[in-house]
Amino acid sequence: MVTLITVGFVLGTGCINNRHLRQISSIPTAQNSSKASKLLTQKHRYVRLSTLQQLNSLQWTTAPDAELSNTILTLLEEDSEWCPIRGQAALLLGTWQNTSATGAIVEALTICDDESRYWMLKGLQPLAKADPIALGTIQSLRNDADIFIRNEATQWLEGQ
Amino acid sequence: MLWGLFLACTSIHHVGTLLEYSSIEERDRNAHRAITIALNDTWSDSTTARALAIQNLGLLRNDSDEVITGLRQLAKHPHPDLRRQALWALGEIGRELKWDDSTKPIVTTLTESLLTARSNTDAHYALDALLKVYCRHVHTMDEDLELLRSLQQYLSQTAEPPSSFYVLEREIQSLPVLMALIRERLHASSIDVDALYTGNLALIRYLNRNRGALSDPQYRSLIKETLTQELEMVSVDIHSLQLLSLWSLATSAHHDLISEEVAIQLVEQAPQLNDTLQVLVHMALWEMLNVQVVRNYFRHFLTHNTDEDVHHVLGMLGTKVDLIQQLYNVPVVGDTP
Repeated sequence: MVTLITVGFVLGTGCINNRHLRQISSIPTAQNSSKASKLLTQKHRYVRLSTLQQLNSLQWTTAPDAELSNTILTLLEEDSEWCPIRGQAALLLGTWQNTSATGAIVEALTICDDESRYWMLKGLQPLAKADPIALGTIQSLRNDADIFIRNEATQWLEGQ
Repeated sequence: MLWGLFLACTSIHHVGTLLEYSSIEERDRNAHRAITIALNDTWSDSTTARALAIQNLGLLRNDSDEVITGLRQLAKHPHPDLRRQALWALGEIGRELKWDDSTKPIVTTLTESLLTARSNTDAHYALDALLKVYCRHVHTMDEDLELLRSLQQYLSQTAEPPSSFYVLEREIQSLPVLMALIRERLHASSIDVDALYTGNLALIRYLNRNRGALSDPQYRSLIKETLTQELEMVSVDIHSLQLLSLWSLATSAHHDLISEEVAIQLVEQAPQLNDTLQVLVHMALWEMLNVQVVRNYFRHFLTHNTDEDVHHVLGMLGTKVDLIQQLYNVPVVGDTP
């Protein structure tokens, strides 16, 4: 009996914990984006990262609302935020053509790891038409030490 | 069954939280937990949790022997999600490693994964990881040669490689490496025609791609050496290789890459070649009229052959009258003096 109660408790706790994952996977069908905003303020890194990855996979061309956009911008601007999260935030804001993110992306590019910086570069690309600072940054990334970044920057500029 | 339900409900959240740590010791502990989960082949379907654990290993960047050995093992896993995540994680960890004896086995695993890739996606993951691990360091010629050998082997068995293949190939190619590879194949006990052809094609592409830079006088001796090797290929009694080498000589001739020395050798070889090859040699030589020995060769050729022979071999270059005008600087009526 005690065993069953213990297992039931652990099972229940586990299932409650996994609610984040269910919520992340239900973002595409959500009526509004408040659920995503809540998930992005969760304390667990993987929840924030997975939420951003999910939002990126949806390929929305504009932000569903200003609140979500601001929440993501806060993540990008936060120096203490984990770089993989800032990278995905940069990509998302870029895809949504949010030019107010350019400054934060350019700053994050100077401190983050190469994998995250690669996604930041991808985020700058949609902003480059409207924002000369984004374009200038991409041009300077042609000489980046990382092969993926300089290759992506060069190829993108050649395609313009 | 309860255990199965327990795993299903708890493991993914548990694995996700392994990304959180407040010290290096805790990060290392989490990496140990993650690799244990990733390697745990259970009867229940735990693929999602295992793939997440592997992804976390790449994000944690822990380079302990246990993690690297485990990931190398997972890079051969039959499940595509697991082996691709393992390749990605190896790349992420490897990109921060110094080049030493602990890094080399990672490159070996990635190369093996490339050569045994079951799909283009698998190859793409392996190539990306190779770029991350290998290209950040300066390598010896032997190391470059070894990797290039594998890349050309992969290319010879693949119809359409991922674009990252060419990025990696460009990073490791250099004239000395390409020439060493051809020499190795040329002097092998039994010649592998396909491998030799692929190697020579890579050399020609390299020359064309870097034509501007290689025109610099400092590369003169290297270019001479390359083209002398191309001439050596002409003497191999394999038609496809002869044609390729001659074509390369012909196309590179008018870029001022061929030295007088090479021109002399071409002139010496021309009479010994069959008609098809002779046409190509003449095309190459025709681009080198600034070399005196070539001009003399054509003068001799024109005066000692019948019209029919001249047209047969040089027909594509113009009429005999045009040739003579060009060779002897005879102005054409109507031309400005």
